[in-house]
Amino acid sequence: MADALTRTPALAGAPSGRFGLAAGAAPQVAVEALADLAMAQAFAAPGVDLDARLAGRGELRRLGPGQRLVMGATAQALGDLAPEVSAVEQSGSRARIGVSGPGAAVLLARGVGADLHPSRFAEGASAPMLFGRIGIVLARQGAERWEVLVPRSYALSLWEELLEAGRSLGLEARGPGGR
Amino acid sequence: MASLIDCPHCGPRPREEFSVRGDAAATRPDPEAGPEAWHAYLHLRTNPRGLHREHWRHSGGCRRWLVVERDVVTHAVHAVRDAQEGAQ
Amino acid sequence: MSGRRLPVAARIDRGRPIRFRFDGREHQGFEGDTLASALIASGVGIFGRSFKYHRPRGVLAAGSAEPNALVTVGTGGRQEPNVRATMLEIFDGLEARSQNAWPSRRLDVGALNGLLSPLLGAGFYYKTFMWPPKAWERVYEPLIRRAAGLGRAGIEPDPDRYEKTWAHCDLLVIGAGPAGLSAAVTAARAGARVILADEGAEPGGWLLDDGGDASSALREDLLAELRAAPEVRILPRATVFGWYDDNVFGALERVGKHLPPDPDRPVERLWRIVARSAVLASGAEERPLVFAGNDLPGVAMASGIRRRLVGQAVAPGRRVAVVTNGEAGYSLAAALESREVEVAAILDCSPPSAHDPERYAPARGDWRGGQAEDWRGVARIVRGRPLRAVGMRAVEALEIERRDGSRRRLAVDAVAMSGGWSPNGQLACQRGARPEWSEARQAFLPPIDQPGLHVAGAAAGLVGRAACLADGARQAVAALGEIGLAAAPAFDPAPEDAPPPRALGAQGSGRGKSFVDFQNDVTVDDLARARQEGYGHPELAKRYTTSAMATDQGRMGAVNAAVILAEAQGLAPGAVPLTTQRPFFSPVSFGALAGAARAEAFRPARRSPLHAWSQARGAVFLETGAWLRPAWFPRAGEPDWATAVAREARMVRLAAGLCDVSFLGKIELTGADVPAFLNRVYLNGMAKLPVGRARYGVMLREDGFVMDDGTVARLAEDRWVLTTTTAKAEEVMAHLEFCAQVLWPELDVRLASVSDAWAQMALAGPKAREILGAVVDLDLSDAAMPFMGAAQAPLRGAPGVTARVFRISFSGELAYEIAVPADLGPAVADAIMAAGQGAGICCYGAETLAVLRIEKGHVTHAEIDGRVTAHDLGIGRMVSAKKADFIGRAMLGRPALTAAGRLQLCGLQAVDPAQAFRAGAQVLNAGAAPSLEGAQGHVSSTCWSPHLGRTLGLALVRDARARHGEEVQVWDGLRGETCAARIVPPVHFDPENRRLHG
Repeated sequence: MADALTRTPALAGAPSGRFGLAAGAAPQVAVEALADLAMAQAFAAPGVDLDARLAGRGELRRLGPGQRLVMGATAQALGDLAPEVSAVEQSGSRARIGVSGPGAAVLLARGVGADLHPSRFAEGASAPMLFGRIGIVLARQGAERWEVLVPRSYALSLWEELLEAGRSLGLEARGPGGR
Repeated sequence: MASLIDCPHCGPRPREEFSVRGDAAATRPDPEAGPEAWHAYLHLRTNPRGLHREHWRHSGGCRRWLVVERDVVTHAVHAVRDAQEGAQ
Repeated sequence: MSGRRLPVAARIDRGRPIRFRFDGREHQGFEGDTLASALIASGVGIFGRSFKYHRPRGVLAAGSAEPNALVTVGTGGRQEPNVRATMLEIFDGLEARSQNAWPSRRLDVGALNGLLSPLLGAGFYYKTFMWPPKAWERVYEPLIRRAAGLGRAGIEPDPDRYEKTWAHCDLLVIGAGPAGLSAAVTAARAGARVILADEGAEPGGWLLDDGGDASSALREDLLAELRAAPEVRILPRATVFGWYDDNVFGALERVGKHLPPDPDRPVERLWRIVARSAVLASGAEERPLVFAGNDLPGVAMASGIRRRLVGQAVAPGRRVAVVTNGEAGYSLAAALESREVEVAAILDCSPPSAHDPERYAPARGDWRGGQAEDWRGVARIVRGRPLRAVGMRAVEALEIERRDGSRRRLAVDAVAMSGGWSPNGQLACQRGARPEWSEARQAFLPPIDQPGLHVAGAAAGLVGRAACLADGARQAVAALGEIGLAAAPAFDPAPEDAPPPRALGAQGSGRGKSFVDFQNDVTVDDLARARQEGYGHPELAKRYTTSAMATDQGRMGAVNAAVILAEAQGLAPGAVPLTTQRPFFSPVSFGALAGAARAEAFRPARRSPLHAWSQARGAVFLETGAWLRPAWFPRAGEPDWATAVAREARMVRLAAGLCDVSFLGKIELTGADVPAFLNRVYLNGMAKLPVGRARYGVMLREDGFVMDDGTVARLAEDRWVLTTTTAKAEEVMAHLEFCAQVLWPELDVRLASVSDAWAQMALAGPKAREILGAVVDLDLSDAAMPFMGAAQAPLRGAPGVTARVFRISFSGELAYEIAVPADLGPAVADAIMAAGQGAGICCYGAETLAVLRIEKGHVTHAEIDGRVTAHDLGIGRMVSAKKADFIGRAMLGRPALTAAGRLQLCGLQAVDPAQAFRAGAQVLNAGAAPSLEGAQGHVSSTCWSPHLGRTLGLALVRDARARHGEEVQVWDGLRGETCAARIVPPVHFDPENRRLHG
């Protein structure tokens, strides 16, 4: 078997389309399948400043005290930080969904009980929470731009929930299959 | 029952993000402590009319185990701490 | 019957007529009409029939407390009963029907109930219709049920959409009347995040009903300021129905109820509002007066008549009698006369000392904003009390008694009544606080200031626009101060208007029923009877008479009931308290509570990385918890699932099969103390597991019973991976995290759930080794990779990618589990299928997996049901004798857990290959009568085995290990079937496990 194996995107099969929009109207929110990234879950030994050790290794997402997801890194790439920082391979474990537009926070508030106001959830911040009954990690990337990390097994279900919840706002969905 | 829990790691979150295990007052006995001590640990609980300390888990968020001090009469939550803080 | 549209200014748009149907007949109204106002303008008087006595009823009030004019709207899945005609905004194509009347609301057979009314008083079902006893169940109850009741619920699926959402704010203002608007503006000016919710289609509350220029201008200015403020959200058509712990509020927004159906717009939206503080400015409900015939169509609340007069230019009749104990009746009389509606008289029924009626007589500029509504003084002011309203199906006259005792009969076709104001403080009393009687305000007041919720305006018992504006601002300042925000009140303190009217009890002693609770047909006599029979306490009287138990929850009648009960005992009004308040303030639909979580979306589905791959190969999926698992892969020509499953099972043992096992829980552990930790959570030894090996492990609960089983593999010195069953993955992870964080925080253990990172497949069968070699670069010889070996290996075709290979077998065949990164799952599965094609590989699903594991006696949660110990399962020797402590060790030695007579795991085989038995059946001794007495145990799993040619099962049977070879009966009590079977060891196939070590 020398032929290269193809990789399947985490959101393969996620439907694209425009929902709840009258002809010519602009969507208030866009839901987009973002490119899959390598990911590693990093743990700190007691007393170790994890964020400091991980500086420069990739964008971090908070999973909890002493635990981060390092975006764009494999566990192997973080191997040199052992034993104070241990890493577990999580590439492919989560799909990345981009939610953007003036209605982005309104759409997210339909599933998320945390306060998403900019004074409470600033740009660069991230936190684990539930969207409805699905566990996600939410990160704010701009005034009207968010990244949602969802476990791969729930990815299609969350995509469908976002599309359904956003219909009354006018939503454009861009799955990995094309625009 | 509280509607919001102020998780020390995540901030105020709806109750639906948490699961409740039960009384945090009991301490796991020594393995050789004998059947009476283990029976008490597993099956017997006091039920005061007022403040309880319970183990809750933020299963929909940081997944940490927490100790929640709440009044079962007024439903007021007095304190929420990470369970590892001063764990026995 | 006598209502009509007036040619005066109002808020309806006469340029936009709307056609709708009521009881099959077409009517026309205008945009801005409610169903109530449009029908009254059309001359409709009877809107339906009452609950018990089938009395004709018209519109009583205006707003959500309306108890009488309840209609059914829509058909099929959209049918909604008990819609208040006063809240329903008409739209083109609206179809509404009256309720509880047959054949028509004007001529209703059920009215005969009125003749039976002596038999139908409060609690009648305890006292009447008792003989003969059998007749109750067969005759009386079905008839009474059919005759009573309000609307009918639809039973077809609801095609509409519902949404739910969270919202956060610094200040939630409930009610957008003067107090609410003032509170919202005060907070907005302080820069706070504000949510302003109002039940009405347009915010404004009393400012809308007032109709004067000053009120309108004030309302416009305040709303304009609020709409321009970026941190203010205004929610019209939103009822805040509940105040919950931690200052969380529930609200129901009617988004699309007044519009034609639209697939993209929800009909309702449920809000969960986290408010750091709140102001309750929900106003007050006008009280009806209690006199005989007060439920006749045409007798209505003064405030309701006023709202329709000012808002929709609808007159209640041609000649109106106004009965009032306060200012409200006088100002209504002035409003009627200024619009050319004749007012026969103003009957002032306030107590003699209360006030001088001349005080109210001239138009009072402040309330009416300076527009001189001349009260021409045509209507006489009469002091006295109403005795009864008379009429067949609508009011035709009002009998009154003057102060001097003389009686008069006024010929009128409408009666407006105003009995004072009851503050809408229910929300403030939903969390245990009780309303208290205020003698000064002649009302039950909620606690005005509770942490997180402050009551303002008419809801706090205040009277007058200026006073309410000032109070709303003051309470907003207080509420914001509580959360550390400084604010300046938008309106200055102002004095109140007239003193409030006295709360009156029952007025008329005329012949006929005097209604206290209109919706449940509760009269003054019912309350008297309740007291007579010992149920005089308000909580008891409520339930005995069903007063305050209808969908209006006592908003119209609870205070009257309390005052009447007090007077009956010779006490002052207010001595008898109101009953406990609970959410919801007004009805909330199930649709709104469910939101989008319906049908397939009820629970989010979880899919394996190989889901689409399995789908493409024709898999039939079944649900296992949240997971969608392939159950079998049917091939063309196979008549049923059993054929497919038997074929798959044969192929696995003959050649090879590939099964997706990604569903298992997978947890990766790192940290210096992992070996010690694992030793403490499994009953068998794990700490010394060498690198490159896997081991079967069993976890107990602390009480000694088996919790879960799985495998532990050590891939490197500090790299451990454990698996759990699919069903218990979450629970085991929570348990392990509890052990690590709470029980043994001193251990350095880090747990990561990696279930979603890996696609895991089982490749099983005699050909498994050669097939696997084509996919991973690993020495798979028996020496290098023995049974229970574990290794990481490069994946062919994916440079730099490592796969994890475990030689574990659930099927009893030579088998491997391969874990690859999730995004490579489908490609690797394809590669395996291609490599195995020549050998005859097939895919197999969960049903076949079950057949194979039952043949080999492997247990799942069918056997591990929370009541079995390791000893029961026959793995007692796995329990480590060396470990000082592990979860469950202390309790598993309890005498009862090791006593004789316990259910033990065994196998069962049908004696006759043609017979079958099912899981859940009872095991009985041979020859015993079919009954649960003497049952020996039960069957936990079954399958039809293609390899043994008969039905097999696993069962838990008393002392089974001493009974191998014994013939028993398997009895299915639900279906009445019996099958002869033999107790055998649980491993039915290849008991020496020769095939494992191939």
